[in-house]
Amino acid sequence: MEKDKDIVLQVENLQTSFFTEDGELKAVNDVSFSIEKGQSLGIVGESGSGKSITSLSILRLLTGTTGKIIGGKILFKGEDLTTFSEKKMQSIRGNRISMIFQEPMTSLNPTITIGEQIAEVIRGHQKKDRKSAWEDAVKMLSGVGIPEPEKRAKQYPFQLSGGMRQRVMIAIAISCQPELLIADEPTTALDVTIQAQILSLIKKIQRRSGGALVMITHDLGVIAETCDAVAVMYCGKIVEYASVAELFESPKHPYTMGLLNSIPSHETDSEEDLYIIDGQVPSPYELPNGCLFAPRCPYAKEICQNALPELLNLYGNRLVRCHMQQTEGRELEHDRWKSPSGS
Amino acid sequence: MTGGKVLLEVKNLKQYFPIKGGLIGRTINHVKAVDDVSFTVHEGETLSIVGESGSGKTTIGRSIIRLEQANGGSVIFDGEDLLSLSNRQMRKKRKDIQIIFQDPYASLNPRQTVYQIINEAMNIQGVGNKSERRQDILNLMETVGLGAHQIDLHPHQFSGGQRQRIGIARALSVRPKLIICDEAVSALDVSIQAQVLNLLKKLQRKYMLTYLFISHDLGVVRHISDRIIVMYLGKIMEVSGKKDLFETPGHPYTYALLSSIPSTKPTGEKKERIILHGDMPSPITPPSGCPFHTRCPYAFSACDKTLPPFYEARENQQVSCHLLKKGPVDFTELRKAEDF
Amino acid sequence: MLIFIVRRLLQTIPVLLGVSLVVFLMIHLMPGCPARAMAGEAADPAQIEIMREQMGLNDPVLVQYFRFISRALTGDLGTSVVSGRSVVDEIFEARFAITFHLAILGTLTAVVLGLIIGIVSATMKDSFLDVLLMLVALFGLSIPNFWLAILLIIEFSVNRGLLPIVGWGELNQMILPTLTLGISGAAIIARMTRANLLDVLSQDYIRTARAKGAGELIVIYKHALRNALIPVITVVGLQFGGLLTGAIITETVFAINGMGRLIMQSITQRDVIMIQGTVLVVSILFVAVNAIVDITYRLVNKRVDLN
Repeated sequence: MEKDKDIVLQVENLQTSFFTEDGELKAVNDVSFSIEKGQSLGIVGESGSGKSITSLSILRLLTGTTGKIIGGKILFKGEDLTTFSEKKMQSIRGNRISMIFQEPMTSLNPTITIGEQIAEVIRGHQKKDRKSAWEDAVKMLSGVGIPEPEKRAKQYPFQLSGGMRQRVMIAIAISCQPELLIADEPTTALDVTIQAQILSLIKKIQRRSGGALVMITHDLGVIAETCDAVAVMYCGKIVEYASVAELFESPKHPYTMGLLNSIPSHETDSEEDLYIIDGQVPSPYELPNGCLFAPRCPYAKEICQNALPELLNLYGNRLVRCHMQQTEGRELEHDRWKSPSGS
Repeated sequence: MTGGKVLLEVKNLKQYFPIKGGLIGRTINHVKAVDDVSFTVHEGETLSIVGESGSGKTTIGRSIIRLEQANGGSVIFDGEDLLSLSNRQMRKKRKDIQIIFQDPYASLNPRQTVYQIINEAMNIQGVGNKSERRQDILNLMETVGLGAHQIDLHPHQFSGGQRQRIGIARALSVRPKLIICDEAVSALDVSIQAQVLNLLKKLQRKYMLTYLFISHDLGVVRHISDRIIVMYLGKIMEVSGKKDLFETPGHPYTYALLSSIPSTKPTGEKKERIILHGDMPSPITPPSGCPFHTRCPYAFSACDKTLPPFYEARENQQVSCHLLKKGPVDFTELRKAEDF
Repeated sequence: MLIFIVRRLLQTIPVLLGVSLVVFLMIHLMPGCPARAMAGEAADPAQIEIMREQMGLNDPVLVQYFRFISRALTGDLGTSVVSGRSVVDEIFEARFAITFHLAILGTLTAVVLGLIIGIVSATMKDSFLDVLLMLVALFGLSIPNFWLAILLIIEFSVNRGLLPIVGWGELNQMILPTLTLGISGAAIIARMTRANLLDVLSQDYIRTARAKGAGELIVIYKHALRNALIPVITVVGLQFGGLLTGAIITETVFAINGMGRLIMQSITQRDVIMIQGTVLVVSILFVAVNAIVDITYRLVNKRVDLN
């Protein structure tokens, strides 16, 4: 197909497990998605959904943990990253695929100057001498909106605020103009006014570079703000995939509906109770046999307890993993959530 | 909701933390965490305090129950000034004022069972009849949504949301009048957060509780509060009823704060954004005049000179901003006109 | 920073005063009278009394203490009861240089061995080599100095005849004492380096470094080691300070005429003035090294946490 040329990343049936004393923990369980040039894809889920492990798997950064990719392909520009040698991966990381992490306070090396932490990536991937790499680093700092970049470049992370440090992280990530940028909860640790600054910076950078962006977050607001398409994850699996507009307008999976309904909005008044999803996320060691969401789902029928539903394509890349959508193909009544069942 | 009896009145509360330095470690400066703050809480209402990190919102809660020794002002609870009580009297008062923290795990003794945790709180305050204690605790657990079979489990055997429920049960066990919720739902996933918020509302109705709700999440605050205080750098910027605060914010900081939150509205009315520049200044050397003037898009000559008084923007909406000298300001209109 | 340095140096004053008081009181608490020791076993009471008067031992204790302090401040620590030599001369002309030399060599050995073992162990965590090295380190830590010294002598001097048993000055004389002193230090440094390095390797900024495409060598030597070694500096400093005060056992076993052996000899000879002077000098050295270590740590670490 003509369009395939534009596909930057295609993840196929990715499986990542952790092997702990308590047994195998299937953190990412058969996850597939793809992302095109210029597109931004959100991956949203609560803690334990496997969203962050997905991103670490793409860059093969599970070093030092018991985690392993045990199946599937990660096609980056048609090449399968899971078959790459460590040496070859190093030439990809920070160069063609970059990552921004959640904790700006701890993600920068405390004993190395900010300028050097940026210049290091530039030197590592491009044939530049110390001086011109440093000059580039200063340019990167001013590019991410840090005032007095020459002075700041010589400073250490502790001399910068949280927002500033996240800007430095972004500068590091984009210094080699990556084709894919993965942002893992980039604003979770920041105050809202700073979050707004950082999100607008990330959007601006993406527009300018035309690269692809994967935004990983638990915050649906951040998704709405920055993404074109969104994948909802629950217990290591994608349960729904849609364009952002469609997801918020007509969620198809009961989990997505519940999630959207349980966020208290700052934009609407409600004297009523919040809709809630009963119970809690199942332990990753004792996952249910059928649909993973069945124990908490108000629509669950017998089939849901017994068989895992497939990820069904409803129409043009609108995916949902739910028996109710598959067997009956009807709209679930949204108001089923309106009767909070006590607490 | 408002207009009930005043339960708590905080007057000119000051909480400074000394910074040691110099040759002999004397105090060379202060962090003015809370700087001359006054407000009242009425019986049965939920008053929220919002602000970003460093605004002093958490310190207020801690100063009220005297986890910190305030430097000035008074905290009148039920007619008595808590700051002038002896430690012993204060311990007794803690029966009436309970606090729930953000991290339920850190505030529960890991070696105790749920029964022991709640029992201890009741013993200290001498609440209830000892022979019926177990039944009382079971009832409490049911109220907060824990099962009877969990009574002898330890905190690590529970999930985050359940631990927060234990914390709530412990707070409730001494039948307090006021509960201070310090970022009580911030660490929880949204689906669990919704469960706990609903629980808090249910308990308020059931026991006529008063909440002082401290949070950085404006969505949560809109959901649970009656009135809201907006803080910035240790000072109150705005005190307002919920509806007014969110629909017609009186202070430019409130307006910026609201417009910073990513909207989950699917399409259409994407609101006009204000993005504040820079970071919050250090509370050690706060700006002169209005503390917000360094980041305020509307700051003018008066703002760095004097601290603005509180103007009545609307009924039940007090705003500390020089712009309001000539009456309330509609920021949406102002932005359209000025085109930032 | 300057304020910190000045404050840290000022803090040593009360410590030194305390030390001098304790050292001084030792004389009065020790059984036996210095005057009798000085006058000799055969002296009659009258001679001893004259001796006491000369030595100022009949003055009130407080007066004696102030005299001791004011003399010490001018660099006079008295003369040896046994040899009649000035204490200061004995220490700084004959003994100190040897001990200093030994301490430097011992510390160097400890640092080089310890770092290599620690880094290898941490980077190959849970491998056979890691377990083996840590077992060896545990031995090094637990083995008593005198026993290790004797083992080394038996093996290298007696059995193989490779190295001399006693003395100091020739290179081949230095090897065994240096090893004896260095091995326990190396064990401590190895274990500490390994623990710190493993801790640092699990930090977020190490993940960042890997995400930047840095190779494993750069990750370890540039990003991890620097941060892991900051706490090790303190240990190295303290060990050096400890060695500087004289390795009593090692110096005695190898018959090296350093400070440690001087203390030992003075004790057996009841040379109270010499003991008093040597212990005071040694304490001052220890306090000084400690202060320097603290200041260095702060200088290196100020980038990490200012508060």
